[in-house]
Amino acid sequence: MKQQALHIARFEEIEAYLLGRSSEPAQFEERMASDLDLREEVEVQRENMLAVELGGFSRTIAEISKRNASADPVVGPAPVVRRASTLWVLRIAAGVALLLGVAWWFLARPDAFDQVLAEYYVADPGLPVPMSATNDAAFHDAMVDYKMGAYPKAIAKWNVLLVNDPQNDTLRYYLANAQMADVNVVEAIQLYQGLSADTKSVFHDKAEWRLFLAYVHMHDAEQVQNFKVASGSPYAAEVSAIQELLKE
Amino acid sequence: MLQNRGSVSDAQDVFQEAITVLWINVKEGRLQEDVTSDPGAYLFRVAKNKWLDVLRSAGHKHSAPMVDEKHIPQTVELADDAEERIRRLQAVYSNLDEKCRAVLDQFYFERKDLATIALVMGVEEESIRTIKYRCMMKLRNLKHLIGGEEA
Repeated sequence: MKQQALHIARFEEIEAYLLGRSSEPAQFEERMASDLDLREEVEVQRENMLAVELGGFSRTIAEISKRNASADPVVGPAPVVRRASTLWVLRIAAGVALLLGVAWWFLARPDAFDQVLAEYYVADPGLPVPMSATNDAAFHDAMVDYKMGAYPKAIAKWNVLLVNDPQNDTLRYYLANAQMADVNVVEAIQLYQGLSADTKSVFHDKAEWRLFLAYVHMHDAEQVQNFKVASGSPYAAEVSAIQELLKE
Repeated sequence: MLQNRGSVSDAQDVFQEAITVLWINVKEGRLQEDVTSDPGAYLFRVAKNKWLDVLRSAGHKHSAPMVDEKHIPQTVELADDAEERIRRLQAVYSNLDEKCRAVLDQFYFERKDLATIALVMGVEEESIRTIKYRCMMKLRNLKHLIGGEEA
Protein backbone atom coordinates (compact mmCIF):
# COMPACT_ATOMS: atom_id res chain seq x y z
CA MET A 1 0.00 0.00 0.00
CA LYS A 2 1.24 3.46 -0.84
CA GLN A 3 2.11 5.44 2.30
CA GLN A 4 0.14 8.58 1.54
CA ALA A 5 -1.53 11.03 3.87
CA LEU A 6 -4.98 9.92 4.95
CA HIS A 7 -7.46 12.78 5.04
CA ILE A 8 -9.44 13.08 8.26
CA ALA A 9 -12.75 12.62 6.43
CA ARG A 10 -11.60 9.33 4.92
CA PHE A 11 -10.13 8.24 8.25
CA GLU A 12 -13.43 8.91 10.01
CA GLU A 13 -15.38 7.15 7.29
CA ILE A 14 -13.30 4.00 7.82
CA GLU A 15 -13.55 4.41 11.57
CA ALA A 16 -17.34 4.66 11.40
CA TYR A 17 -17.46 1.49 9.32
CA LEU A 18 -15.24 -0.44 11.74
CA LEU A 19 -17.19 0.76 14.77
CA GLY A 20 -20.49 -0.24 13.14
CA ARG A 21 -21.62 3.37 12.91
CA SER A 22 -21.50 3.80 9.15
CA SER A 23 -24.76 5.12 7.72
CA GLU A 24 -24.14 3.28 4.46
CA PRO A 25 -22.13 0.12 5.25
CA ALA A 26 -23.26 -1.78 2.15
CA GLN A 27 -22.08 0.99 -0.14
CA PHE A 28 -18.81 1.19 1.74
CA GLU A 29 -18.27 -2.56 1.29
CA GLU A 30 -19.02 -2.23 -2.42
CA ARG A 31 -16.32 0.41 -2.68
CA MET A 32 -13.90 -1.78 -0.74
CA ALA A 33 -14.50 -4.66 -3.12
CA SER A 34 -13.21 -2.61 -6.02
CA ASP A 35 -10.63 -0.44 -4.26
CA LEU A 36 -7.51 -2.24 -3.03
CA ASP A 37 -6.08 0.85 -1.33
CA LEU A 38 -9.26 1.37 0.66
CA ARG A 39 -9.34 -2.31 1.62
CA GLU A 40 -5.78 -2.19 2.89
CA GLU A 41 -6.40 1.09 4.69
CA VAL A 42 -9.34 -0.50 6.50
CA GLU A 43 -7.18 -3.43 7.59
CA VAL A 44 -4.46 -1.12 8.92
CA GLN A 45 -7.00 0.88 10.86
CA ARG A 46 -8.62 -2.28 12.23
CA GLU A 47 -5.21 -3.37 13.53
CA ASN A 48 -4.52 0.03 15.06
CA MET A 49 -7.84 0.05 16.85
CA LEU A 50 -7.13 -3.45 18.15
CA ALA A 51 -3.73 -2.27 19.45
CA VAL A 52 -5.47 0.50 21.37
CA GLU A 53 -8.14 -1.81 22.75
CA LEU A 54 -5.47 -4.29 23.79
CA GLY A 55 -3.59 -1.49 25.55
CA GLY A 56 -6.74 -0.52 27.43
CA PHE A 57 -7.54 -4.11 28.30
CA SER A 58 -4.03 -4.86 29.58
CA ARG A 59 -4.00 -1.68 31.65
CA THR A 60 -7.35 -2.56 33.19
CA ILE A 61 -6.31 -6.11 34.05
CA ALA A 62 -3.04 -4.85 35.55
CA GLU A 63 -4.89 -2.26 37.65
CA ILE A 64 -7.31 -4.88 38.96
CA SER A 65 -4.46 -7.21 39.79
CA LYS A 66 -2.62 -4.41 41.59
CA ARG A 67 -5.70 -3.46 43.58
CA ASN A 68 -6.27 -7.07 44.48
CA ALA A 69 -2.67 -7.43 45.62
CA SER A 70 -2.71 -4.28 47.73
CA ALA A 71 -6.02 -5.24 49.32
CA ASP A 72 -4.56 -8.56 50.37
CA PRO A 73 -0.83 -8.34 51.04
CA VAL A 74 -0.56 -12.12 51.13
CA VAL A 75 -1.49 -12.32 47.44
CA GLY A 76 1.44 -10.27 46.21
CA PRO A 77 5.01 -10.91 45.22
CA ALA A 78 6.14 -13.83 47.28
CA PRO A 79 9.02 -16.23 47.49
CA VAL A 80 8.88 -19.57 45.75
CA VAL A 81 6.39 -21.82 47.45
CA ARG A 82 7.07 -25.51 47.51
CA ARG A 83 3.99 -26.61 49.39
CA ALA A 84 1.06 -24.30 49.12
CA SER A 85 -1.29 -24.27 52.07
CA THR A 86 -4.98 -24.71 51.46
CA LEU A 87 -5.55 -21.09 52.51
CA TRP A 88 -3.10 -19.80 49.92
CA VAL A 89 -4.68 -21.86 47.22
CA LEU A 90 -8.11 -20.54 48.14
CA ARG A 91 -6.88 -16.95 48.11
CA ILE A 92 -5.27 -17.33 44.72
CA ALA A 93 -8.37 -19.05 43.38
CA ALA A 94 -10.47 -16.13 44.63
CA GLY A 95 -8.15 -13.65 42.91
CA VAL A 96 -8.22 -15.64 39.72
CA ALA A 97 -12.02 -15.86 39.84
CA LEU A 98 -12.25 -12.10 40.33
CA LEU A 99 -9.94 -11.41 37.40
CA LEU A 100 -11.76 -13.91 35.23
CA GLY A 101 -15.11 -12.35 36.08
CA VAL A 102 -13.93 -8.83 35.33
CA ALA A 103 -12.21 -9.87 32.12
CA TRP A 104 -15.32 -11.71 30.98
CA TRP A 105 -17.36 -8.63 31.80
CA PHE A 106 -15.09 -6.56 29.56
CA LEU A 107 -15.55 -9.07 26.79
CA ALA A 108 -19.28 -8.87 27.24
CA ARG A 109 -19.59 -5.10 27.29
CA PRO A 110 -21.58 -2.78 26.71
CA ASP A 111 -22.36 -1.36 30.14
CA ALA A 112 -25.81 -0.76 31.63
CA PHE A 113 -26.24 2.67 29.99
CA ASP A 114 -25.36 1.27 26.58
CA GLN A 115 -27.68 -1.66 27.11
CA VAL A 116 -30.56 0.66 27.99
CA LEU A 117 -29.86 2.75 24.92
CA ALA A 118 -29.72 -0.34 22.71
CA GLU A 119 -33.04 -1.50 24.10
CA TYR A 120 -34.98 1.78 24.07
CA TYR A 121 -33.46 4.06 21.47
CA VAL A 122 -34.97 3.81 18.02
CA ALA A 123 -34.28 6.54 15.48
CA ASP A 124 -37.44 8.45 14.63
CA PRO A 125 -38.61 7.17 11.21
CA GLY A 126 -39.23 10.73 9.95
CA LEU A 127 -42.26 12.28 8.34
CA PRO A 128 -43.94 11.13 5.16
CA VAL A 129 -42.29 13.48 2.72
CA PRO A 130 -45.29 15.08 0.96
CA MET A 131 -47.12 15.83 4.21
CA SER A 132 -44.52 17.52 6.38
CA ALA A 133 -45.64 20.31 8.65
CA THR A 134 -43.45 22.96 7.10
CA ASN A 135 -44.82 22.43 3.60
CA ASP A 136 -41.40 23.33 2.34
CA ALA A 137 -39.52 21.68 -0.52
CA ALA A 138 -36.14 22.23 1.11
CA PHE A 139 -37.41 20.60 4.29
CA HIS A 140 -38.67 17.58 2.31
CA ASP A 141 -35.36 17.31 0.53
CA ALA A 142 -33.51 17.08 3.86
CA MET A 143 -36.13 14.64 5.15
CA VAL A 144 -35.26 12.32 2.25
CA ASP A 145 -31.60 12.46 3.34
CA TYR A 146 -32.65 11.78 6.93
CA LYS A 147 -34.69 8.75 5.93
CA MET A 148 -31.79 7.46 3.83
CA GLY A 149 -29.51 7.68 6.87
CA ALA A 150 -27.46 10.52 5.36
CA TYR A 151 -27.63 12.45 8.63
CA PRO A 152 -24.79 14.95 8.03
CA LYS A 153 -26.49 16.05 4.79
CA ALA A 154 -29.86 16.42 6.51
CA ILE A 155 -28.27 18.36 9.37
CA ALA A 156 -26.52 20.75 6.98
CA LYS A 157 -29.75 21.43 5.07
CA TRP A 158 -31.94 21.83 8.15
CA ASN A 159 -29.42 24.11 9.82
CA VAL A 160 -29.71 26.47 6.86
CA LEU A 161 -33.51 26.49 7.21
CA LEU A 162 -33.29 27.02 10.95
CA VAL A 163 -31.55 30.36 10.49
CA ASN A 164 -34.68 31.82 8.92
CA ASP A 165 -37.19 29.87 10.99
CA PRO A 166 -35.68 29.33 14.45
CA GLN A 167 -39.01 28.71 16.21
CA ASN A 168 -40.24 25.97 13.86
CA ASP A 169 -40.70 23.02 16.21
CA THR A 170 -40.96 20.42 13.40
CA LEU A 171 -37.64 21.58 12.04
CA ARG A 172 -36.01 21.66 15.47
CA TYR A 173 -37.34 18.23 16.39
CA TYR A 174 -36.08 16.48 13.26
CA LEU A 175 -32.80 18.37 13.34
CA ALA A 176 -32.37 17.10 16.92
CA ASN A 177 -33.16 13.56 15.77
CA ALA A 178 -30.62 13.82 12.96
CA GLN A 179 -27.98 15.10 15.39
CA MET A 180 -28.74 12.24 17.75
CA ALA A 181 -28.61 9.66 14.97
CA ASP A 182 -25.28 11.12 13.85
CA VAL A 183 -24.01 10.81 17.44
CA ASN A 184 -23.71 14.57 17.93
CA VAL A 185 -25.33 14.15 21.31
CA VAL A 186 -24.47 17.55 22.78
CA GLU A 187 -26.13 19.33 19.83
CA ALA A 188 -29.14 17.02 20.08
CA ILE A 189 -29.51 17.75 23.80
CA GLN A 190 -29.57 21.50 23.24
CA LEU A 191 -32.37 21.16 20.69
CA TYR A 192 -34.38 18.67 22.75
CA GLN A 193 -34.09 20.92 25.81
CA GLY A 194 -35.68 23.79 23.89
CA LEU A 195 -38.52 21.59 22.67
CA SER A 196 -39.09 20.06 26.12
CA ALA A 197 -39.54 23.54 27.54
CA ASP A 198 -42.30 24.27 25.02
CA THR A 199 -45.31 22.49 26.52
CA LYS A 200 -47.56 23.56 23.63
CA SER A 201 -45.49 21.87 20.95
CA VAL A 202 -46.88 18.64 19.52
CA PHE A 203 -43.34 17.28 19.81
CA HIS A 204 -43.07 18.06 23.52
CA ASP A 205 -43.47 14.52 24.90
CA LYS A 206 -41.31 12.91 22.24
CA ALA A 207 -38.60 15.53 22.67
CA GLU A 208 -38.65 15.01 26.42
CA TRP A 209 -38.27 11.25 26.00
CA ARG A 210 -35.43 11.65 23.52
CA LEU A 211 -33.74 14.19 25.78
CA PHE A 212 -33.80 11.58 28.52
CA LEU A 213 -32.28 8.98 26.16
CA ALA A 214 -29.61 11.49 25.15
CA TYR A 215 -28.59 11.79 28.82
CA VAL A 216 -28.44 7.99 28.95
CA HIS A 217 -26.24 8.09 25.87
CA MET A 218 -23.92 10.53 27.65
CA HIS A 219 -23.77 8.21 30.69
CA ASP A 220 -24.90 11.26 32.68
CA ALA A 221 -26.15 9.45 35.79
CA GLU A 222 -27.08 12.66 37.61
CA GLN A 223 -29.28 13.99 34.79
CA VAL A 224 -30.84 10.56 34.31
CA GLN A 225 -31.76 10.19 37.97
CA ASN A 226 -33.04 13.78 38.34
CA PHE A 227 -35.05 13.71 35.14
CA LYS A 228 -38.78 14.39 35.54
CA VAL A 229 -41.28 13.94 32.74
CA ALA A 230 -44.41 16.08 32.41
CA SER A 231 -47.49 14.66 34.06
CA GLY A 232 -49.42 12.49 31.63
CA SER A 233 -46.39 11.78 29.47
CA PRO A 234 -46.78 8.49 27.60
CA TYR A 235 -43.11 7.80 28.40
CA ALA A 236 -43.38 8.15 32.19
CA ALA A 237 -43.29 4.39 32.84
CA GLU A 238 -40.23 3.85 30.64
CA VAL A 239 -38.36 6.75 32.23
CA SER A 240 -39.11 5.45 35.68
CA ALA A 241 -38.06 1.88 34.80
CA ILE A 242 -34.77 3.06 33.31
CA GLN A 243 -34.02 5.27 36.33
CA GLU A 244 -34.56 2.27 38.57
CA LEU A 245 -32.36 0.09 36.38
CA LEU A 246 -29.50 2.61 36.35
CA LYS A 247 -29.66 3.50 40.02
CA GLU A 248 -26.40 1.80 40.80
CA MET B 1 2.13 -23.71 39.55
CA LEU B 2 2.71 -23.37 43.29
CA GLN B 3 3.32 -27.09 43.45
CA ASN B 4 5.57 -26.88 40.44
CA ARG B 5 8.27 -24.35 41.45
CA GLY B 6 6.17 -21.26 40.85
CA SER B 7 5.47 -18.25 43.06
CA VAL B 8 2.25 -16.31 43.55
CA SER B 9 3.73 -13.53 41.44
CA ASP B 10 4.50 -16.02 38.65
CA ALA B 11 0.93 -17.27 38.83
CA GLN B 12 -0.46 -13.75 38.50
CA ASP B 13 1.78 -12.95 35.52
CA VAL B 14 0.90 -16.16 33.73
CA PHE B 15 -2.79 -15.69 34.41
CA GLN B 16 -2.74 -12.12 33.04
CA GLU B 17 -0.99 -13.29 29.91
CA ALA B 18 -3.42 -16.17 29.46
CA ILE B 19 -6.46 -13.95 29.89
CA THR B 20 -5.07 -11.53 27.30
CA VAL B 21 -4.68 -14.43 24.88
CA LEU B 22 -8.29 -15.40 25.54
CA TRP B 23 -9.41 -11.79 25.00
CA ILE B 24 -7.71 -11.37 21.64
CA ASN B 25 -8.94 -14.72 20.39
CA VAL B 26 -12.50 -13.78 21.36
CA LYS B 27 -12.13 -10.35 19.70
CA GLU B 28 -10.99 -11.95 16.48
CA GLY B 29 -13.53 -14.77 16.56
CA ARG B 30 -10.90 -17.48 16.55
CA LEU B 31 -12.28 -19.62 19.34
CA GLN B 32 -14.13 -22.83 18.75
CA GLU B 33 -17.44 -23.60 20.41
CA ASP B 34 -15.98 -25.81 23.11
CA VAL B 35 -13.82 -22.90 24.24
CA THR B 36 -16.58 -20.28 24.31
CA SER B 37 -18.77 -22.59 26.36
CA ASP B 38 -16.03 -23.11 28.94
CA PRO B 39 -13.54 -20.20 28.89
CA GLY B 40 -12.21 -21.15 32.32
CA ALA B 41 -10.97 -24.53 31.07
CA TYR B 42 -9.35 -22.86 28.06
CA LEU B 43 -7.65 -20.35 30.33
CA PHE B 44 -6.34 -23.12 32.50
CA ARG B 45 -4.89 -24.96 29.51
CA VAL B 46 -3.21 -21.83 28.14
CA ALA B 47 -1.79 -20.90 31.54
CA LYS B 48 -0.52 -24.43 32.08
CA ASN B 49 1.20 -24.44 28.73
CA LYS B 50 2.77 -21.06 29.39
CA TRP B 51 4.13 -22.24 32.69
CA LEU B 52 5.66 -25.27 31.04
CA ASP B 53 7.37 -22.89 28.60
CA VAL B 54 8.75 -20.94 31.56
CA LEU B 55 10.03 -24.11 33.20
CA ARG B 56 11.77 -25.09 29.97
CA SER B 57 13.40 -21.67 29.70
CA ALA B 58 16.98 -20.92 30.76
CA GLY B 59 16.05 -19.69 34.23
CA HIS B 60 14.43 -23.00 35.09
CA LYS B 61 16.55 -25.43 33.11
CA HIS B 62 17.31 -27.46 36.21
CA SER B 63 13.65 -27.80 37.09
CA ALA B 64 11.82 -30.78 35.74
CA PRO B 65 8.13 -30.09 34.98
CA MET B 66 5.77 -32.26 37.01
CA VAL B 67 3.23 -32.46 34.17
CA ASP B 68 2.79 -34.97 31.42
CA GLU B 69 3.46 -32.81 28.33
CA LYS B 70 1.87 -35.35 26.01
CA HIS B 71 -1.53 -34.22 27.21
CA ILE B 72 -1.33 -30.58 26.15
CA PRO B 73 -4.46 -29.98 24.06
CA GLN B 74 -4.47 -28.78 20.46
CA THR B 75 -6.45 -25.65 21.30
CA VAL B 76 -3.40 -24.22 23.04
CA GLU B 77 -1.71 -23.88 19.64
CA LEU B 78 -4.01 -20.93 19.05
CA ALA B 79 -2.37 -19.21 21.98
CA ASP B 80 1.08 -19.22 20.35
CA ASP B 81 -0.14 -17.21 17.34
CA ALA B 82 -2.07 -14.89 19.62
CA GLU B 83 0.96 -14.25 21.82
CA GLU B 84 3.07 -13.20 18.86
CA ARG B 85 0.28 -10.92 17.69
CA ILE B 86 -0.14 -9.44 21.17
CA ARG B 87 3.58 -8.69 21.36
CA ARG B 88 3.50 -6.80 18.04
CA LEU B 89 0.39 -4.83 18.98
CA GLN B 90 1.82 -3.95 22.38
CA ALA B 91 5.04 -2.74 20.74
CA VAL B 92 3.06 -0.33 18.59
CA TYR B 93 0.89 0.88 21.47
CA SER B 94 3.99 1.55 23.56
CA ASN B 95 5.02 4.23 21.06
CA LEU B 96 2.05 6.41 21.94
CA ASP B 97 2.48 9.25 24.40
CA GLU B 98 0.27 9.58 27.48
CA LYS B 99 -2.09 12.09 25.90
CA CYS B 100 -2.70 9.85 22.89
CA ARG B 101 -3.30 6.86 25.12
CA ALA B 102 -5.77 8.76 27.26
CA VAL B 103 -7.84 9.89 24.27
CA LEU B 104 -7.66 6.69 22.24
CA ASP B 105 -8.36 4.45 25.25
CA GLN B 106 -11.49 6.37 26.07
CA PHE B 107 -12.74 6.43 22.51
CA TYR B 108 -11.91 2.93 21.25
CA PHE B 109 -11.74 0.86 24.44
CA GLU B 110 -14.20 2.55 26.80
CA ARG B 111 -16.33 3.59 23.80
CA LYS B 112 -17.03 7.09 25.11
CA ASP B 113 -18.13 9.68 22.56
CA LEU B 114 -16.06 12.76 21.72
CA ALA B 115 -18.25 15.12 23.75
CA THR B 116 -17.83 13.01 26.89
CA ILE B 117 -14.06 12.75 26.46
CA ALA B 118 -13.88 16.50 25.88
CA LEU B 119 -15.82 17.07 29.08
CA VAL B 120 -13.57 14.73 31.08
CA MET B 121 -10.36 16.27 29.71
CA GLY B 122 -11.60 19.85 29.85
CA VAL B 123 -11.00 20.69 26.20
CA GLU B 124 -13.13 21.39 23.14
CA GLU B 125 -14.70 18.43 21.35
CA GLU B 126 -12.98 19.49 18.11
CA SER B 127 -9.60 19.28 19.85
CA ILE B 128 -10.33 15.70 20.92
CA ARG B 129 -11.29 14.87 17.34
CA THR B 130 -8.00 16.30 16.09
CA ILE B 131 -5.91 14.59 18.77
CA LYS B 132 -7.58 11.27 18.01
CA TYR B 133 -6.83 11.66 14.30
CA ARG B 134 -3.23 12.72 14.92
CA CYS B 135 -2.59 9.81 17.29
CA MET B 136 -4.12 7.26 14.96
CA MET B 137 -1.97 8.62 12.13
CA LYS B 138 1.04 8.05 14.34
CA LEU B 139 -0.01 4.41 14.74
CA ARG B 140 -0.65 4.17 11.01
CA ASN B 141 2.92 5.25 10.32
CA LEU B 142 4.12 2.46 12.59
CA LYS B 143 2.08 -0.18 10.79
CA HIS B 144 5.16 -2.03 9.59
CA LEU B 145 5.70 -2.98 13.22
CA ILE B 146 2.23 -4.49 13.41
CA GLY B 147 1.96 -6.36 10.19
CA GLY B 148 5.55 -6.84 9.18
CA GLU B 149 4.72 -4.70 6.16
CA GLU B 150 7.33 -2.49 4.63
CA ALA B 151 6.76 1.18 5.42
